Amino acid sequence: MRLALAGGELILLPEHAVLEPVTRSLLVADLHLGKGLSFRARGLNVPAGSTALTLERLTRLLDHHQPAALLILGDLLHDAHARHPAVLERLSAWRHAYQGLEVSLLTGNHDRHAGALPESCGIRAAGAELNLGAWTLRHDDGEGGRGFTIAGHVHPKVRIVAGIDAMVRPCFWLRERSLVIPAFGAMTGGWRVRPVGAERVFISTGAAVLDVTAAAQATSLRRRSSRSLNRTW
Amino acid sequence: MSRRYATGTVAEAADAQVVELELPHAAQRAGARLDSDALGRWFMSQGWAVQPFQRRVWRAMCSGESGLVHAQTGSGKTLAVWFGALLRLSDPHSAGLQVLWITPMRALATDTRAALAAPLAPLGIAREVELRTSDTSSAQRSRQLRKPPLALVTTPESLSLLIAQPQWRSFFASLSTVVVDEWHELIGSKRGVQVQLALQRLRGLGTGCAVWGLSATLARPEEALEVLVGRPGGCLIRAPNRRAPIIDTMIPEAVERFPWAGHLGTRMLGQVVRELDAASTSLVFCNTRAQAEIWYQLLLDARPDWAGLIALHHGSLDREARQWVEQSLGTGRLRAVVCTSTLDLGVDFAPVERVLQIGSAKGVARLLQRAGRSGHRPGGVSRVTLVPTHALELLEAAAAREAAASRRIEPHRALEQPIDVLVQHLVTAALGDGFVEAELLAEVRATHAYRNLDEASWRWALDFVIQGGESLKAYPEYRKLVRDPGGRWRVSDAAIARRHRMSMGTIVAEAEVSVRAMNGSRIGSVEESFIGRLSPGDAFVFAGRAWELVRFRDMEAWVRRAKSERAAVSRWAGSRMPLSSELAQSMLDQLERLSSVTPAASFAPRRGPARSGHSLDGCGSPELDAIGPLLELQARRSRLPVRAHLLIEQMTSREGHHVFVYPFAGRAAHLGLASVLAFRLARSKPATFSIAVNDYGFELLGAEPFDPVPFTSGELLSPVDLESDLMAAVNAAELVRRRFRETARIAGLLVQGRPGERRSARALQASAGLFHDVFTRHDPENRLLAQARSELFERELDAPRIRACLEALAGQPVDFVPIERPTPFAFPLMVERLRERLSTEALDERIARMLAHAERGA
Repeated sequence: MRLALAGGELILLPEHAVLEPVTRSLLVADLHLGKGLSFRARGLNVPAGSTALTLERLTRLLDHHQPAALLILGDLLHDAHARHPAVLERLSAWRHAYQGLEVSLLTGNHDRHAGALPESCGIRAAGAELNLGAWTLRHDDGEGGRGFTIAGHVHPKVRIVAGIDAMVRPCFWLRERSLVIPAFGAMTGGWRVRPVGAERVFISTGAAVLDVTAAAQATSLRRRSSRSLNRTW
Repeated sequence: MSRRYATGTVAEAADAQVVELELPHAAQRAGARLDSDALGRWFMSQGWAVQPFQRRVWRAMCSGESGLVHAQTGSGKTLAVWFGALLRLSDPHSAGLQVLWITPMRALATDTRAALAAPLAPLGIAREVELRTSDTSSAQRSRQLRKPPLALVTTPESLSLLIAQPQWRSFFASLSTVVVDEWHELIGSKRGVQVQLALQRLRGLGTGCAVWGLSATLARPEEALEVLVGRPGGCLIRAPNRRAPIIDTMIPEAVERFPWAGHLGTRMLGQVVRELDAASTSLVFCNTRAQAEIWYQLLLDARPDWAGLIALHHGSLDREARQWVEQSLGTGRLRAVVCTSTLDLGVDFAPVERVLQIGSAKGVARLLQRAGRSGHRPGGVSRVTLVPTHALELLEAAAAREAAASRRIEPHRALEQPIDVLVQHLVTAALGDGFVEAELLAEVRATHAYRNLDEASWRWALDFVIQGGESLKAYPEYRKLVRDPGGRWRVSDAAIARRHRMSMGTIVAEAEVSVRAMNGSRIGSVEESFIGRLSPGDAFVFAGRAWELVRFRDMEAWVRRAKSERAAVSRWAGSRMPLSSELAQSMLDQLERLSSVTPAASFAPRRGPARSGHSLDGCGSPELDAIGPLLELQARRSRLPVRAHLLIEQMTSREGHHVFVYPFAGRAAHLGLASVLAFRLARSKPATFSIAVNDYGFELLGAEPFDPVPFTSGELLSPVDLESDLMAAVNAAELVRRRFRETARIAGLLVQGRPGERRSARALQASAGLFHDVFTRHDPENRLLAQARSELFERELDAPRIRACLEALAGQPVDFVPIERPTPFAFPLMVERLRERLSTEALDERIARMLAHAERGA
């Protein structure tokens, strides 16, 4: 879905990523690589496979769009446990398949905990903030003072309702001065947002991204008080 | 326990102290060992007579047997077993813990401790009975480990924590008796399995400890005994029953204005106030904590002069507040206590004269249990009065009374080898002093729950905790248990040990937030999801008062008294109890009887409003007389649901197209049935249905009109392929995902935030739904997933009952009745807010339809 904003155009991709067409930059956030491994290292049994799946999805996306740059909006690794040789090797192997691609990582709260990536990963540490055209890229849209921010961090999800039907899905959350993008990682939870005022929300059907603001603001028919339906005999 | 037996005179008691006990070595060790004469004298000093069943218990206990005492509350079974345990002591004054008393509810522990401690001093035993629950301070816990009391009163969870202590063997080294109180509360649950495993650990110590259970009325006491002692045999002792309790109903005064649906019952306020006014002390049982809060407020509003004379009691209130209420109840200072199941059990409060039950008690056993909380004065009779919250509950009350009279009580099904509890137990055992595989397997197999545990399941559970998964895909980074040089599996990591201790147990509740006033005092706890919806400044009612949220941080909600009157009532999720099949069948009996004594002609449509109790003969029951006009209306708008025909009603509203089906199979089976029907309907044509269920029937709501043919031809309601359709339907309805929460929590996968805890634990938190998705994607054969699925089948959806229901329906004619307005049976389903959804539409089509709907509405 093409999103026309004051700073230019952004393309919201059904794979939970954003494409900036002018610089051909691909934006993803919150991969949380090594999360399963981190859980296992601390005695919680989680089957392996999520990190591989996340990187596979990223590979498919890169092959399809052939961007000039990949910008990761923070939380590449889940935590210090995730900074494990097994994860780093997998990450490097993936990186080496894309020699020409510039990959930058904005520091997210989880990255701070995980510590700096080894150089062999070939991922540029971009600090807390990065400018891309008219946009400011950050991990967290919270304190953005200047211009329009594109961020991740909260893993937004939204509940949409229509009549008898309802569902909760990850979403893109367009706010007054920011766009918050959904988590890209295969093992990530979410935080439910409720669009207010002029805010908009978009969800992916797998094949397309749709604006579901109206359905997110609708209230279920069943929310009516039973009193209004109640009658006496 | 505190009941005085009017029948036993002191003279009889004196006779009775010749208790025909043959106590080994009594003569040799007269100085140390307690003898039966002392017990007889104590009974006499209380003005009580030793009853024959108590003597039988003492004899059995002294000869080293294990067993179960099966009796109503107030029959003196606590003293029977406690004195039996004292008689077993070779020397009550020797150091060491000798008696362990397990009680299912923390709230009961205080009273139980007091009841057990009372006779000790008169009997000349200078030892203590102490508590060990989650309320016990850490200083006291460590003191108990250093200097154990004579007896310890504890809960299943605290017992598991005890056997997870490194020094547990020495702590229990002199244990001679374990008593499991209120065993009927535990037997059908995972907590019961947890107790079985812990008991087997204690038996394995070789101290020869006897295990005795206490239980209220059970449908199958022999099975309960076998589950408790882990093998056939053991001693079943029944106490004589007291007089049968009275079960009656508060008939609404304005019965024709009584609502068809609802669950609060607030219309009955005036009548309830009058009843409370007439009785000395009453218990008012509510089914939920929120309902109890509301009723407490209403009673105070109606009678401001009762401030201080009525009180509130539920599980989320702070311990001190609960204890104050219990003490005041015992002394007769209170006129009424509005309570939840927290006062179902425990030591009887002699002053309680009346019990009111707001709304359906859902089961015969629970109703009898609650009735038994009253009438403990000499010559008193227990009485429970049902206060209906909607009209159909009038029918339920009559049904409950009949089922109770004919002793049709719900059976407890003991659980068979839940793998999540086993996984938890393996870590508990490793935390204790470690385990050796073969030894622990033998011990686990000695329990009833795991007597048929096969090698593969054992291996799987072991691999799951040792290497993180099946042997084929071991994870080198996985760490939970390590093998020590002596070959024992242990927990090495302090953080893992701490987390396991904090999340031990099988009660799966939502994360609780501790509620504290600004001066720091604790008020109680509410669920995180409730407080999470409030913003600072919002008001809510809790513990009988209105509070304003000041801030919510680190799982603590700081509040001050609210000025505003408008406030949300705190909500706790809790599961909705299904109506038992015993009660549902009894209801159908009532309807059956009504339609058989009433000539068919009276069901013919007629004009004018229905008037009470004319054409439908209430068979002499006041409830049926009262509900007569409503049933008449049901018959006029549609039909009365009876056994011979399956009634299906069809209606169109602005919400969409409804069908209402009334199999009377209970809420659990209805959810399964509705899911199967929705799935079968949506198989030929993708659709999404909204499903509502209650104990009488279910509703399917769809966007397209329903074709009557598949309903009446028997095609939809066929038992053929039931299991595979149910499985497919259930997966489509996302029910497994929700069910996985319990399994994941017990198996130690969910890490919850706790009051006062900083964010450090957050990186380890993930929702059960996320775990479910990751397992389904990367480890679909995982046995925890399989267990969640089979629990959903057997317990939540009641698959056997669904099959029985469909088979019964197979040859039955179906009445497919179009209705213009909701009938009395349909209406409660229409306004039911807890709904399930089942969809076979592709995601993009479903979203497209939802968006189209939203745009139409906009």
